[in-house]
Order: sequence, then structure tokens, then C-alpha cells
Amino acid sequence: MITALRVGVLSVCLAFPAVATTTWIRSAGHRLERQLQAEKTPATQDVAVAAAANEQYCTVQLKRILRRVLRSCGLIGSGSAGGTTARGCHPVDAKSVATMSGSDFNALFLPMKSRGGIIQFEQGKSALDDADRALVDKVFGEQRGASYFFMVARSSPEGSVKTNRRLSKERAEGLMAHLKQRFSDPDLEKKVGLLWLGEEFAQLDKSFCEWKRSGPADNCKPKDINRSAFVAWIDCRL
Amino acid sequence: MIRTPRVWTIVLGVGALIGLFFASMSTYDFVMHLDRQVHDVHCSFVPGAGPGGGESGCQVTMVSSYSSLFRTSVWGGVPISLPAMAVFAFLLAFAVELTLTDRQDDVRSSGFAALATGVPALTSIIMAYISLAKLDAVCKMCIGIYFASALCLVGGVGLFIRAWRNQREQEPEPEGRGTETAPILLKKKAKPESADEPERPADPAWVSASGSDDDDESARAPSPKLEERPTPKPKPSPPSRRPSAVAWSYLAIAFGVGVLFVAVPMIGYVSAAPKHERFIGTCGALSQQDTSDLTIALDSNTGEPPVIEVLDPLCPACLGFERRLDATGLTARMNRKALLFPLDDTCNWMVDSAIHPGACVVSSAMMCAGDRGRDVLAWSFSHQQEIMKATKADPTAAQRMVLAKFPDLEKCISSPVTKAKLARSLRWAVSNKLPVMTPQLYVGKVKLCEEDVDLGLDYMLSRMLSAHKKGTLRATSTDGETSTPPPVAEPDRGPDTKTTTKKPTSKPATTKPGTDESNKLDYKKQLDEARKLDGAKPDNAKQPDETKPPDTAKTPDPVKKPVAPPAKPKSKAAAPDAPKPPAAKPTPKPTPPAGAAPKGGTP
Repeated sequence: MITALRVGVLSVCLAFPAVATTTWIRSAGHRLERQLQAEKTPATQDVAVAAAANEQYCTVQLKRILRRVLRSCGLIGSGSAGGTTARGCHPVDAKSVATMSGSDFNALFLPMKSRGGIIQFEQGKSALDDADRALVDKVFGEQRGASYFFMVARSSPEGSVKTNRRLSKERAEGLMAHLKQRFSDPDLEKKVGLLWLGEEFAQLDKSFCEWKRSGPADNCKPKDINRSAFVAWIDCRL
Repeated sequence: MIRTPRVWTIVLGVGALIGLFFASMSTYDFVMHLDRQVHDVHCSFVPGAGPGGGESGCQVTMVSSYSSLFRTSVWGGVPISLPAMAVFAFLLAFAVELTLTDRQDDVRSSGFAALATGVPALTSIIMAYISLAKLDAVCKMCIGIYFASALCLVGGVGLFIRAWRNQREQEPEPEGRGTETAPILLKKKAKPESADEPERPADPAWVSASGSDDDDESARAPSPKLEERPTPKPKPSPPSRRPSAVAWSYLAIAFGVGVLFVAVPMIGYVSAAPKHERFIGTCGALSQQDTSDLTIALDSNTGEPPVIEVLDPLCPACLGFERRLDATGLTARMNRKALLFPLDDTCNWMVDSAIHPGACVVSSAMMCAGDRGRDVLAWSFSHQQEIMKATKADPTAAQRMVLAKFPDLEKCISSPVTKAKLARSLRWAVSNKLPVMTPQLYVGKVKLCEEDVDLGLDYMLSRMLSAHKKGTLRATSTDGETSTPPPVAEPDRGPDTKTTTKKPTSKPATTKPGTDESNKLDYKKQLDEARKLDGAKPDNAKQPDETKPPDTAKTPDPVKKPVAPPAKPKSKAAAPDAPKPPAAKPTPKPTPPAGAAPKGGTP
């Protein structure tokens, strides 16, 4: 009787850890298999995936324009992305791809006021001074989630159209060269949209004087503010 | 005849029973996690009283590398509470055995019991030290086991001392100490004078054991013959009333049975454990591995497999992960680099709020520090809570603290170039469609599943490193089909990785003003979970509109997104900083951090 009791107690105590654990393990295994089966069917993704910024101002219309401009300017589309095609948009290109008036074109950029800046040049010059470099650096450094950096250079109406085209192009390219040298960003070519508009398209009005500018505060007559390059990150996903 | 248990035997048995109960609950909690989901663990002095909260140290101790054995051989290892179960079961069985066989007064048997109770007692001391000194966590279930171990030890030692005293009391008086006792001794030792009075055997204890009352009576009863005989020289002989000690072979068998008690469940565990190796490579892969100048070297093991750790220097989950990684001893087999992914909205547009306030500044400091990047990381890991707390109160605090420690970084930290570089680091995550969470680890291009960042770390990582060396590591599905990494694409929504499969428990989504509806994010409890795992304090994440920021999180810090196609069939919830659901309801294991909601969303 006692022997049987001893054997019984011993067996129960010996079996309990093994049996209990094995049972729990099997249960976990079954749950695992059930979940694997369940996950073979579409389910919702719970964790956010890293994505570029896409702010509210990125309307369908703005995106359409951006796409055209970026494609024409060599950033996206065939032959782009690596900068293999000619970069930058000429005034005529800009007009044609934007298919809108200059004021409407400028209005597209108004939501970027807090993200942008206006680099003001001296008359007839395309060289950057310290204030210009500081502002473009500051604006470019605040990329955050933006995918595209726009640099839209202009010139004031003084002088010939041809000279102003060349001048605005030099201003845009001067900025680009500075960014390349300063930031050593291997993806720069894929990010920067370059436009030079000369005096022919989308001249800035006085409302842009309220933007961050590199020029003196009182130096904001229409001719002053158009001897410039508008720079801004655009937080739109295309 | 069944004997009455002594008080000390009862103490031993009760201690063993309590220990068995607590150890069983601990083992149960551990085993629950073999399904790669997140579960609440029991954490109460009243076993079975219900799942405990994440605030307790039970979770911390459970996922620590000290919670199990053979971690590189079995996924998660064999929980140390399993041999504890076995030992307590053995002690219980032995206590019953002592009672049934009436060996409670046997010095050898009780001594063996006392020695056996030393095993859980010693283990408890070691584990308590580790818990307090290394993990800085107190686990109520563990305390229950410590208490049970102490009770067993008291019972075992008490039993032994009692038996030893009894033996001493029953030993013969030293020679020459009088003749009063001689008659009794003689009586006991005297040979039977006739064949009718057989000699009493020095029996096995379970047969006669210590003297019964009857024995006492007979021992004390005067013997007529004795009185008639002179007592010239008392013979020094063992007291006849003292129970004979059990044979050593009995103890050897008992020891063998004890070993069997431990071996059987452990072998059963190893053979029954689910095979998790098939999950290697099923949680996604990088589409771009080139991080050029964006990463920070965490070691210099060139020649070893490249490993990228996506981390946030102020993420408690990352700290916990780092500790676990160190504990694996596998860091020498990796060429690790850190890719910074601060969950702080001052630089990271993918979160709505500063989940880890100051993380952007510290990340910038790491980038500026160059080769000393890991020093900055080590410093930030050791001051996480104070940096975040101070920055919450004063947004400039993080920079002030960093510069106080690394003054030479002043010019660099806030320079546009550094900001741009940090943005590129975040853009790299976009290009690879990484889940918004930290930490993440990639061996080569293949992601370590979030389900494997704690319990299964040693097992899975060691296999991934070996596979990488052999050239066989690649992303696959759970069916074993090799899959190609997701193509590099414009930042859209990205499926991918196992994070997506994790089902966060119930955190409300948040939407950042100014984003698309699709950008609403469902921030998780994962932060809480992660925090649980690491034992850190919760982070705050803003949850627009309705929710309150998650408060405590310890492990990874993921951010959840409501709408998105599941890319991988995997089930765990985010691991990093996320909370765990009640034990009864398994929830996906989250590894990601806590509550920040990524902005962005569908294009």
C-alpha cells in the first residue's frame, strides 16, 4: 500500500513538469500555426511604413504641375533621375509645362512660405554672398520629409531678354553648384528641380517680400525681389 | 503504516508546493511566447491572480538573457523556471517519501533533503543578485520562487538538524561516565540467549525507521536478566534505539531520480519546442543597403557580416535591445553599424510628436562625432530618461546636455549640413520602406523579425550570421519560397516586413493636421510593450484628437499605420515599445516603439 503510494506520488511529481510543459508548448505551436494560416489572407498593416511627407497643400493640381515640371526639368521620368539629360527648365519650358499664368504659377508656391526662401542677387550678378549662402543652406538643411527642392531663378526686367535668361540660368546654376559643394549629397541631382525664368514668366510680386530673404529688409521693390532665386522644399509625394 | 509528517517536513513540502506553483506559472508565461506573439505575463504574489501589468519586472526578467538556458540551441532557450519546477516537484516528492517511509529522523535522508533544498536556494540567491544588480528589475513571480526556496531550505535544514539532534541524544554516553546506562546498552547489544529471540537487523530506514513508542517502551523496560548480571565493562556500541541510517545506495538512487526529474522535462521541452528557424528571412529585406556615410560604426569587426541597426539613441527599447544583444555574445561576429532613426518630430516628419524628445539633437551629435559616435550613443543610452525629461520641459535641454558632455560638437550639431545628413538617414528608411519603429536589425539585407528581438535573439541571430557567412541568407516566405526584396520605389506606401503583421493592441490612431486622411496613424501600445520589455519608462506620443500618448514603453518603438497591405505573412505584433495584452488573449508581438504616428500615408 505504502509502496504503491510512494510510486504514485513519485510518478505524479515526475510527470507533472514534463506533461504540463509539453502541453503548453503544443498549445503555443498550434496557435502559431493558426496565425500563420490566418496571415496568409490579406490583413491590415498595423505598423506605419516610412514614407516621404505629403502635406495638405499637395493638391492634385499642384502635383500635376510638379510632375510636368519635374519631368521636363530632368528629375523624373525617362532619362531622368541620374541627371543624364539636360537639367533645368528654360523659361519657355516652364511656361509650356505649367500651362498657366505666371501669377497662378507663383500661387502654387505660396503654401511653402515657411519652408522657402528668396535669395536676392545684386543687379546683373549671379554670385552668392554670405547671406545668400546662409539662407540657402538653412532652407536646404530643413528638408525633413520633402522629396523635391525647387530653385526658381529670375531676373528683373532691366536689360535684354536674352541677357536676363542667361543671368537667371547662371543664378540657378550657381546655387546648384553651391549645394553640391556644401552638402555632398549623392542624391542631389534627384532632388533639385532647377528652373530659370528670366524676366519672361512668373515675376514675383510684393507679397513675396514677407518671405525669408537674403537681401536687406528694405530692399524689396519688384525689381529687387526678382533679381533672385526662389528656393523651397516641396513636401509632396508624386 | 503511514507516519505523521514532522513540522519541518511540512515546511519543506509546503515550500516545494509553493515553489512548484510559482515556477509553473513562470514556465507557463514563458512557453506562451513560443507562438511569437505578445502576451501579458503573470506578475503577482498570488499566482493565477491575473496578468500583471507592464510596470512589473516580470517581463523584463523574462526576456533577459538570464531567464533561460541553451538559448542558441532552442528558440528562447529552456526557461530556467522549468528545472525549478522539476526541483520543487522532486522536493515535494521527497518530502512525501520521507514521511511515508518514516525517514524523517534519519540523518542521511534528512541531510540529503537539506542538500537538495540548497539547489533552489543557491539558484535563488544568484538570480536575485542578477535581477537586482544587472537587470534592475524586481519580479514578483521570482520573489515567490525565492520565498519558496527559502522555505524549502528552512524545512530541509530544520529536518536535518532535528534528526541530527535526535541521533546525538540517542548516542551512548562516553566510556567511564557511569554505569547507569550500561545496563540499557548491554541489553540492546546483548545477543539473544536463545534461538527464540532473533537478532534485530540494522534495517533500512523505511522498514523500521526511528524508534516508535513501542520501541521506547521496550527499551526502557527493565530486563530481569540484566539485573542479574554484573556489569564489569560496558561495551561501547551503537545505541540500539537509534534508527539505522539508510544505505548510501538509497541516496544515490534518490540523486539519480532528482536528475531524472530535471532531465525529463528539459528533454521534453527541447523536443517539443516549435521550430522557429523557418522564420528567418520572412520579415523583409532592404532594397538598398548602401548607407554610405550615413551610418555610425558600432564596432570594427571588419570581415564579419554587415549588420545594420536602425535605432533611436533615446529609445528605451533600443537600449534594452542593445543590452540583450551584448548578452548574446554575438557582437564579435558582426560588423555593426547604426542607422539613426530618431522618433522625434523635430526632425522626423513620420511621427506626430516627440516620442523621444531630444532624439534629433542626440542623433545629430552622433553624426557629428564621427568615430566617437558610439561614445555619444553610450552616453545617451545611460542618460535616456533624464535627457527626455529635461527636453520635454525645455526643448533646448537636450542640446545643452549634449554640449556639456561633448563641447567640441557645438558648431556641427545645428548646422544645415548635419540636418541634411540626418534627413538623408531618414530618407534611407523611406527608400527601404522600413516600418516606423526602432530598433530594427538587418543582417546583410535580411531583417531580423521583431518577434525575435528578445527571447529568440540568440537563436535566430546566430543562425542568420552563420547563414550569411555561408551565403545562404536570403529573404523568403514562411513557405520557404525565396522572395526578392521590395523594389526601390518612390515613397509610397510600403508593405513589408513583419512589423506590418504585428497587431498592435488597441491604440488609437492619430492624424497629423495637414496630412491626408490616409495618413492617419494608429499609434500603438507597442510602445508600452516595448517599455515593458526593457523596463524603461514610457514615452509620450501625441495622439491627435482622441488619445492620450502612450505612457510606458520599453521595447521597440514602432508607429502603427492603419491602412496598408500586408506584405508578409507573419504574425507578430510590433516588438519594440509596445504593451502586452492579457495572458489569456495572445496579441501580436510588437517590437516597435511606442506611440508616434507616422504621417504620410497613401500617395
